[in-house]
Amino acid sequence: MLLQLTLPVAIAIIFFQTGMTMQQKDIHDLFPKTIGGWQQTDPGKCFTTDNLYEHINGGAELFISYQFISACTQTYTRGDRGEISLDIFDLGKPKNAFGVFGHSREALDWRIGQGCQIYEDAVIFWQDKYYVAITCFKCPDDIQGVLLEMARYVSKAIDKKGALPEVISKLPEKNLREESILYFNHHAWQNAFYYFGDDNYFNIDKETDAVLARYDMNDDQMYMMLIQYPDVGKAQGGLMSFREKYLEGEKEQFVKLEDNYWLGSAQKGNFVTVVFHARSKAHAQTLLRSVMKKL
Amino acid sequence: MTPKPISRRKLLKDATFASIGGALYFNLPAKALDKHKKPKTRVVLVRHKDVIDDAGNINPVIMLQMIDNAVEALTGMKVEDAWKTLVSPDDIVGIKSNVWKYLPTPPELEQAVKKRVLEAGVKEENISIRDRGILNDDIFMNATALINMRPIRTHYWSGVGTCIKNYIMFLKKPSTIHPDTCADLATLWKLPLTAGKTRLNVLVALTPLFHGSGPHHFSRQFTWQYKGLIVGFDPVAVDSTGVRLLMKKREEYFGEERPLNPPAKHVFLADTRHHLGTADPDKIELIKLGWEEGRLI
Repeated sequence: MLLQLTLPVAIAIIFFQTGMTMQQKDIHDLFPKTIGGWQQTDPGKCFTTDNLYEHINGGAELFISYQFISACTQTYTRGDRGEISLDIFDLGKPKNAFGVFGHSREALDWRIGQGCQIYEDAVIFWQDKYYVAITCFKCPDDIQGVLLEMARYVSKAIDKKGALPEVISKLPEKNLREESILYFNHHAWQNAFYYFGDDNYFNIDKETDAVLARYDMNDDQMYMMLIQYPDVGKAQGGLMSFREKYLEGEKEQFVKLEDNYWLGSAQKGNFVTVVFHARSKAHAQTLLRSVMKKL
Repeated sequence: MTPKPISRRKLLKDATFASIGGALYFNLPAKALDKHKKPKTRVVLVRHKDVIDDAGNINPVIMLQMIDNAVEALTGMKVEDAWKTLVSPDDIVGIKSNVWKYLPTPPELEQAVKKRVLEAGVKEENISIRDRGILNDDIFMNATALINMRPIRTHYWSGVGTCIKNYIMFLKKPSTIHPDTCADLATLWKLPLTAGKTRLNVLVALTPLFHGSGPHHFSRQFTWQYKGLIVGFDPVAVDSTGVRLLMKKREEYFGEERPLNPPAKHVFLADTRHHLGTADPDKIELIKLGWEEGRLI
């Protein structure tokens, strides 16, 4: 059976297993002892890919798909006012933290870290290589102030910002719904807005940087997937794979599919882009041209 | 042989899958009429406006009434007779619940079902209500009958938490069923500990979670007081109905197409690959009881 480790012991073991990097000690330092009268109630626990399931069960796969390194969690209580959980995930690279955060983002909000979502019972944000979630269980309705105070403490303790993946900068800004941007490097997330299918049509893996985004053009809500490959050959292979497997050998740049929506696909350099769910060919062409100009 | 991957185009083009795929992947309406008049799988949706009070407390009397109404509609029998067809005095009964702390199987439902199982003649010492640790539970290890009850919710990796998925604790290492976004969860129902033993499935839709956020995939903001139970013998039909409910709610809330991500593939494959039951809404007779406002399906 896998052990649930207390936070200091887990850190010591991770140091030992990973060559004593100081990065893991940083996680430990990010946890406040007390916030607004809420105090740590246990030694805390840390998890790796081997036992993250014990903490968040099937949800662990989301983090593992973003090259998760480790996570630590700490519970805070104040009398019988419920329970606050502070979870800090180390995703190794800022782009992965941004990617995980994209799954929770519904609106743009930069009040905490490099982007946050603030709910009545939770504050979630990303900063540098960390994805941070502060959630409350059976707490009073006025808990949000405490959650925000805790979030600000952690953000200040991280004291560093991370760079977004280059592929994001290639998205055309016109008509972009910025809150929809979802970065990923596992093909499971290619269906986030529109179900393509189960196959890894574009050969997406941890060496590729892929992004999905929504575009509103008049009444047409379209989607764009832009993928940056390590080299031109892999980009050519990605487009060829998509056209072979999904478009069934179709070589036309613009295709009208069974659902009566238009899809356009192209490759330029080490990038492949697909625009889809367009009601008209003209809209698909406009969006595809706009991204090609930026590549 | 590796099964062929599912795709949007295949689902739209292949008439065999069009109805199920349309319902589970694209939120398309079921056909209005069944031309073939084949027998359908019965699923009961029962709702009661007062089962939860303003403070979020569940009324145990109404909960019992709801499960009674559902079982009567499902079997076409009076409740006391109906339960005697579901379990017999010699049975060893495992009531498989779900303890996920944000949205557990309500104790009021567990006790309502236990009451009816006891009244059907099963000895108290032969009943266990449990989720985690069932592989160390003598009742579950020797069970002759299972009753499966859990809340419906979206899920980061399997798309949805369902009755089918609720048997994952029958595996020593649940993560072994995670590949391909939990595609083959239906195989859990063919394990020696489970095969042919399930007498009733209850998908709890009192406060369903229709969208996930954060590491635990939970925020109260994405739940709503639907105040329903979805009940049936066929777990696939029950889950398919639950998936349609979540998709309708997502459409209503977001005001735009927002597919489950990942999709509820395991429900689709439970029908088309594993033949555990039917996910096709055209083959499901959905009996709707009780509170009508905001029923969505």
